[in-house]
Amino acid sequence: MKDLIVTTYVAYLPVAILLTFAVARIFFKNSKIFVLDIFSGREDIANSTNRLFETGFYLLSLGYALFRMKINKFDFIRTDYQVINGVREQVKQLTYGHQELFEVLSSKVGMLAVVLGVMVFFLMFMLFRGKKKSAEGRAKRDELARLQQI
Amino acid sequence: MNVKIITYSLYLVSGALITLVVGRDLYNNGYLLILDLFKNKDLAITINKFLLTGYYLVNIGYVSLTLIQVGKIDSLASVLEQLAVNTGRIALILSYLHFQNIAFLAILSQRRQKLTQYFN
Repeated sequence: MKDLIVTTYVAYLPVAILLTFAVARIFFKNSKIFVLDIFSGREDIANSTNRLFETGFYLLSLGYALFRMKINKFDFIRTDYQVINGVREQVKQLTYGHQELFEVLSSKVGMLAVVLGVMVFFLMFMLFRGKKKSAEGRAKRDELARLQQI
Repeated sequence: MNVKIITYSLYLVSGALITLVVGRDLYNNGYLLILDLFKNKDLAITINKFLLTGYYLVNIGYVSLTLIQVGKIDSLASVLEQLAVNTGRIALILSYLHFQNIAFLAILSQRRQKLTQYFN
């Protein structure tokens, strides 16, 4: 029985890690252009900021994946009623097989994917906001320079 | 050998590994941001080293503080569970601190821009 849970863990860990790495690689390869725009073309600082966010993303998603890995055995308790010696009694049984663990694995991977998706959308929102802010700042600076010239 | 001792040593190793890897990454990439903030190379190097030392101390200290596990650890599954939950917690705390740091740096640099705008 216990080996099944270990098998589920062994199946879950590579899936979670690969999913995180794939999402992070796709996202941070494409976010470079936004960060470059935010820092108005200064490449070194844009690269380090991108890398900092990538580290944070890895920490957050892998931390979440590991933190939620534990399978709670008490979810598999099934209550039955049996008649023992003429008395109807509640009997609790711990039953889990391949099907239950497959369902649990699927729900865990799905939850991780949803969390990653929400994180990606949040980061996208932050990128768009930063782009807007930096454009506003640049416009203000240009305006100031124009006023100083007059 | 006691299974708990094996779990503890694996936990210490994984916690220290995460701390070291992330700390090195932050040290290498945060330098430019600090330099951008203070505009002074020597000051930036010193502050970066101070930050790295403090980060190592706090995190490795936290890892060894949370070493003790109350529950029963007797099988491979429970070893994996304990390791994953604890390492995940450390990673989550680290990511929180990390994003907090980035926000702090961003706020400071914005303030600096505003201040320089006012004083120039």
